[in-house]
Amino acid sequence: MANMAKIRYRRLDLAARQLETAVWLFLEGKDRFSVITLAGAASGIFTQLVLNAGRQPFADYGRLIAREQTGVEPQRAAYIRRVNLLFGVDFLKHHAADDPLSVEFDEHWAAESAITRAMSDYIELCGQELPFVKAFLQYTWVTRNGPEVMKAYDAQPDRVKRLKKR
Amino acid sequence: MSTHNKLDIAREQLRTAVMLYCSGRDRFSAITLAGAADVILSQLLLNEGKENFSDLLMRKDAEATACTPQRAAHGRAVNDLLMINDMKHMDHGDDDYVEMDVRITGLATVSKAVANYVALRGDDEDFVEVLRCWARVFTPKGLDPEGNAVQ
Repeated sequence: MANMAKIRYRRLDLAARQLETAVWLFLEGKDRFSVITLAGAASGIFTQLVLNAGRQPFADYGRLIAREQTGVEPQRAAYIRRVNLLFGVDFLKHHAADDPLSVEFDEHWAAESAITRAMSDYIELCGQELPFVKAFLQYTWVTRNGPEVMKAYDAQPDRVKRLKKR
Repeated sequence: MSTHNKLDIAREQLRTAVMLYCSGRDRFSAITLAGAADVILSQLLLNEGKENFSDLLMRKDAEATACTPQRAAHGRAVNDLLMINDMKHMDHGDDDYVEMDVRITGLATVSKAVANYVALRGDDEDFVEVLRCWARVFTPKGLDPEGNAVQ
């Protein structure tokens, strides 16, 4: 493969492309397993890019929320591993000899959650102007009752709201 | 909550990967999905006492060099060659750019996973036929060392 016609790609574009495809599959109601796998892959790149930009990735905001709730702030790598397990990202790309042959999880919830995490970091880097971003935000605003979610957020103490760095 | 068989999961990921690759819609995502499916399919083949595609490559390497590589190290080398890790991970200090021929890398990744699926469950699935048709049209005589279709 040494002589292939290689092209130089930004990692940001590789991750954004995967997230866009994940959103398309999700909104089309197609293959949830692939949605989770692609959004998880995009997050694996976005987290570092957001850190490189000197901003706060989803993982670091989540760690602060965890500290607020439990008094303990998890390490970044441990937090990401835990979220990946929760969203099913890991067992969709791994299988060890003694792993069970089946897994139990809510694939729709996991797919939406995995996209939400990746989207949060994408927006931090690129804003929310592209159609696939708007489409997903509009979908969650309607299906998750956006006004109620914002009301719940506004009711949080300022101390909690300041955990999200702007 | 629903229960999902790992083989069903890998089959769905692979079907989506083949469709994304052959339609040209998104070959980066095809690499990620085929890579994920391939990990599951490779282990399922071993569980059934069958040789997976990586083991076949290892055996050919061993015959050519008289030195048997370790399975984990060989797997990592193949993953690096196919850029699978670059599609899903970035570490502190990594370059902001990667260089690849997504057409060739994607074809290799998808083909490897489909070969493992066929070894495990045969070639009746629609996506196997889709890839076969694509190959007949675009690479009827295979690829040369530079990744161009042999005329």
